[in-house]
Amino acid sequence: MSIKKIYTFGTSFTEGGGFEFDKPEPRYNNDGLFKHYGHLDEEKTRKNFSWPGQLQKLYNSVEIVNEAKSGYGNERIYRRCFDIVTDSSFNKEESLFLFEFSDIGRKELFHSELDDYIILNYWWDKYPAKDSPEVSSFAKTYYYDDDKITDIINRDSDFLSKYINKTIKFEEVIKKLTRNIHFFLSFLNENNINYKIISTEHANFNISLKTNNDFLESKRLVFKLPDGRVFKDVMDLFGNHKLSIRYETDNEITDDGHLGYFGNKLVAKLIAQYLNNENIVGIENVNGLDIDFRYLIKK
Amino acid sequence: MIKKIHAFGTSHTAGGGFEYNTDRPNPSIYKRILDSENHFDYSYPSILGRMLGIDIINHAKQGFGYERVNRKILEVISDESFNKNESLFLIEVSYHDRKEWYIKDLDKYLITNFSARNIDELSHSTDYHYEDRKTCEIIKYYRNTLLDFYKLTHSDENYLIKQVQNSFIYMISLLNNLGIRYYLTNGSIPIETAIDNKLNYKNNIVEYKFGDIIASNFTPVQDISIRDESNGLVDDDHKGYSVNLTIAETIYNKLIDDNYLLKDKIDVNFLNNWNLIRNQLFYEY
Repeated sequence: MSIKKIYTFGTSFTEGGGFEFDKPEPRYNNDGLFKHYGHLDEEKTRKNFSWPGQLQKLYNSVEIVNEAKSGYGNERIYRRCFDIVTDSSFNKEESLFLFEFSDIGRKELFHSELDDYIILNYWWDKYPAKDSPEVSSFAKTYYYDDDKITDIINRDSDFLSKYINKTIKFEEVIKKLTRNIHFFLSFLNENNINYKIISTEHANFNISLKTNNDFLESKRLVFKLPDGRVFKDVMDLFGNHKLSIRYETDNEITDDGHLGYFGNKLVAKLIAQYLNNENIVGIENVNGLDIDFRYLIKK
Repeated sequence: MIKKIHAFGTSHTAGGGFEYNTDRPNPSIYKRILDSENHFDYSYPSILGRMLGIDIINHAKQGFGYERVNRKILEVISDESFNKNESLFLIEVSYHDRKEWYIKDLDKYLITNFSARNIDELSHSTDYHYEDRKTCEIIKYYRNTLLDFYKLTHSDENYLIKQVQNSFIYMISLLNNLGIRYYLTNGSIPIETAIDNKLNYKNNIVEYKFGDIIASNFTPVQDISIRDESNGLVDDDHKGYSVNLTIAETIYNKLIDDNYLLKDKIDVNFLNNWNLIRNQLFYEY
C-alpha cells in the first residue's frame, strides 16, 4: 500500500476542538489558551494542535486532510466522504480514511437561505432516554459564524427546537444511526476504499448482519499503550485517562473537555504506530512525536 | 433456491389503485378477476408469488419512497430469521419528491409528498387511504410547521436529487456487499456517468415490453393505467392489473434466465394480458 493522503473525519475531537486560538474577540476570550499553550514551539492553530495536525509531523510524503468539523457528526462524515470518493480526481489506492464516528445528538440540516448545512446539537441526560432531548445549540460553524448567519439561525432557533422535539426519539435515532453506518460502510467496501475506524460510539454493530461483523472488527484501529493495555475505541482511551484540556490546564480552562495538547500528540503517535505496524503507512519522522508517557494519567 | 421474496417500493409495488376501503378509486369491478379486497393481492409481487407458490412479504407503501425502502431493507436483513441464500428482493426506486420523517406524537413515520417546483403543495400521510381520524387531526395540526420546515430545509431541488442518488448508491452498495439477490423493478436513478460506471447493478434491472414500448421504468408509460384498463370506471392513474401481471411474468422469466428458478419460460405478451383482463372485466357488459 502506498498511501499518499490520509483523510480524517469526525467531530471537534478530530478537528482540534478547544484550540480555537483565533476565535473572534471580544465575543470570545483566548487569553487562557495563550497562557497555557503560548510558550510551545507550535503553530497556534486548531489545525496544528489537533491529532491529525500532530500526525502530519510524522510524515513528509503523506498529506493529512482534516475533514472534521466541530459540532457536526456522522451525517457530515457520510456527505463529505461521499463527495471525495465520487470526485473524478480521487485516487483510492493512495488514500486512507480514518473515521471518528460521532455520538448521537447531532442533526445536520440543509438550510435553503444559507445555501449550506447547519448543525443542530441536542442531548439527553441519560441513555436510553424516554423524554424529549434538550436542544443545546445550532450553528453553521461554531465560533466563526458572522452576525448575519447568527441572526438567521437565531431567528429559526425556536422552530428548529420544535422540529427536534417533535421528531427525535431515542430508539429511532439509534436505529437510524445503525442503519446509516451500515449503508455507509457498505459503500466504502463496495468501492474498495482503504479505511480504519477510531471510534464508533453508539453504533450497534451487533445486529445480525452476520456477514459483516468480523469484517467490521478488522476495520477498527487498535490503540496499544506501552504498559500493554489495548483500546479499540479512542473514546475509551480518552475516557479512562486525564487527557482533556481541563485537566491539562489544572482546571483553569474549566469549560473545555476536549482532548488536550498531550492527548492529541498521544492519539497521533498511537495511530501512527498502528499504521506502521500494520504496514499501512510507514512513519517517516521517527522523532517527530516524542512524548513522555508519564503524562498519561489514569482517572 | 428462492423461498421468500421481499418487495419494497411505492404504491406501484403495493397494489396502489386497488384500495377498497374508500369511495375512490372503488375498484370493485376487479373482483371479477380476484376475489379480494386487499390491495396487495393485486400487486405484481403478489401475482408473482402466486405464480411461484412462495411467500411474498410486501413492504411497499403508498406515498412512501426511497427512505422507507432503505429503512425496511435493513430491518429485513437485520432480522435473525433472514436467510439471504433463500431470499430475493424486488425493489422499486422512487423519485426525489417525497420525504419521510418520524413523528413522535404518532410514533410513526410520516411521508410528505411535494413537487420541488411548488413547495406549497404538500401532502402528508402515515397511511394513505387507511388513515384514522385521530391521525388526520394530528397531521392537520402539524401542517403549517411541516410546510415551514420544508421551505427552510427542502426547497432546493439539487439537494433533493442528491439525497435520492446517495440513497440509491448506498442501497446498491449494501446489497452487493452482503451478496443479497435483488431486482430493480422500475429501473434506476439518474446518476452522474462517472459514478454510475463504478456501480454494479445494471444486470439487476428488469426490462419490460408493453406492446411496442420497451422500458425498465414502467411508471411513465402512458395509456395503461387502471383508468384506461377499466374504461374510466376506476378513477386512478396507477397501472392496471394487466401491467402488474406483465411485470410479474417478466420477473418470472428473469428468475429463470438468472438460474434462480428451474422452470420453462413463459410467453409474456402485454397486449394479450390487456385483452384478457379487459375481457374479464367487461364480460356481460
